[in-house]
Amino acid sequence: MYSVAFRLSGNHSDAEDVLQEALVRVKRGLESYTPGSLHGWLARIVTNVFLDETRRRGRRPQVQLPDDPDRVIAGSPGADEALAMEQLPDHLQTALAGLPDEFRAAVVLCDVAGLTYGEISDHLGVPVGTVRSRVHRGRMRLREVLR
Amino acid sequence: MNPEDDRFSAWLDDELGPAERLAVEQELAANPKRAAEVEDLASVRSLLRNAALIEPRDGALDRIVSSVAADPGLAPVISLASRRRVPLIAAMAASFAIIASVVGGLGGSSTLPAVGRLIAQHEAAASVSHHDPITATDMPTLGDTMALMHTEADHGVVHALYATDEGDMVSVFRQDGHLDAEALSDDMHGMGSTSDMGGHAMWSADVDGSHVAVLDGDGYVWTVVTSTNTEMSMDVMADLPGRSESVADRLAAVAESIVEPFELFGS
Repeated sequence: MYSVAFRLSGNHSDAEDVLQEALVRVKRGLESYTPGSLHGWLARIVTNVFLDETRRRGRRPQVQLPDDPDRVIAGSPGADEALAMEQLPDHLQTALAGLPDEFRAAVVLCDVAGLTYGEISDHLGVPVGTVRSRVHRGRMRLREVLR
Repeated sequence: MNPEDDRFSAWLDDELGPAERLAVEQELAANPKRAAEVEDLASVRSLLRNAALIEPRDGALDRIVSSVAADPGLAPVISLASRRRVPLIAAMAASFAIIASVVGGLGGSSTLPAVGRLIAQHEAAASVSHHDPITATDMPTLGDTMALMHTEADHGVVHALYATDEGDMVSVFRQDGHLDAEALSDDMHGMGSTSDMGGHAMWSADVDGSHVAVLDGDGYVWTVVTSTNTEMSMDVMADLPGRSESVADRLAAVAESIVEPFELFGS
């Protein structure tokens, strides 16, 4: 949950606020949880908190800090992932934080939370085609910083 | 690459139908420049997917958990034991530890455990890195190989987490009431099956990657959740006690209601 919050927010301070609000919503909304993807349900709540907060503030994330190498723990890559676990390059994290909120939410839910387009569509309340477009356009912008 | 042509990201995510997938693969085979561009997209995707998980800063997790816990909710019986390190997953665990709430209660009405929530609570508690064995006199002892690691209560529902010598975790939830297995089956959209466990009605199913069994136990409704370890779940079920006092009280009340009119006539 915190990784999703951090990738969406771009900094620890906002990510901690998002996590705290998300946990409160989890606590209050557990009645609505039905057996299914617990992981996806939690990711949706974090994302909704983030989007609500950025709409409320009427601004984009203002501070983008690089990952703190002392504060990272190992993730669980898929068996087909050839790359070793590593922290996100600073310029990519910065570029991610600079994406429009809707694009960033789609990319983070797809590539950080690992949700399918269908799950993201359900969570964000937009058509699958819109998810597909946002993921692609978000990645295209991120691709620019790697070139 | 046309930024509007989102087929290539969808191809990387295996989200294309057969016809589109074939078309993309033929285009990539025939167009090295396009293939290189897609390779760039794949690099972005891999970097994001392989990035290490991130923990909150020092002290932040305690502050967050304390703040969430301040909401009315769990009244801990025994707090988590010896949590020497608080990894990311502990944030989830702590959040669920203060969430427990189950439909039902003592009385004549049936009781339906909130299966989804109990599974989530089990997963959260079982995922905490470090538990040390504890003792709790009001929870059952489950053989010699099942150590009680953690217990808490919320709104009349007691949750106890046990661990085997092999590290397998099983959660036992206890709440007052009587199980209506048929209503539970309906509530779970027909999932699972109802059977008999030592003369008591039991409903069991594999739900969301966990094995769940619910037993009517003489005034208690027991819910056992394991990570698909059906055999361990059944062993636990066989050991769960009933609450004979409660049954006796109810029988006495029924007997009194029957006898009382005759006593009135006789007096």
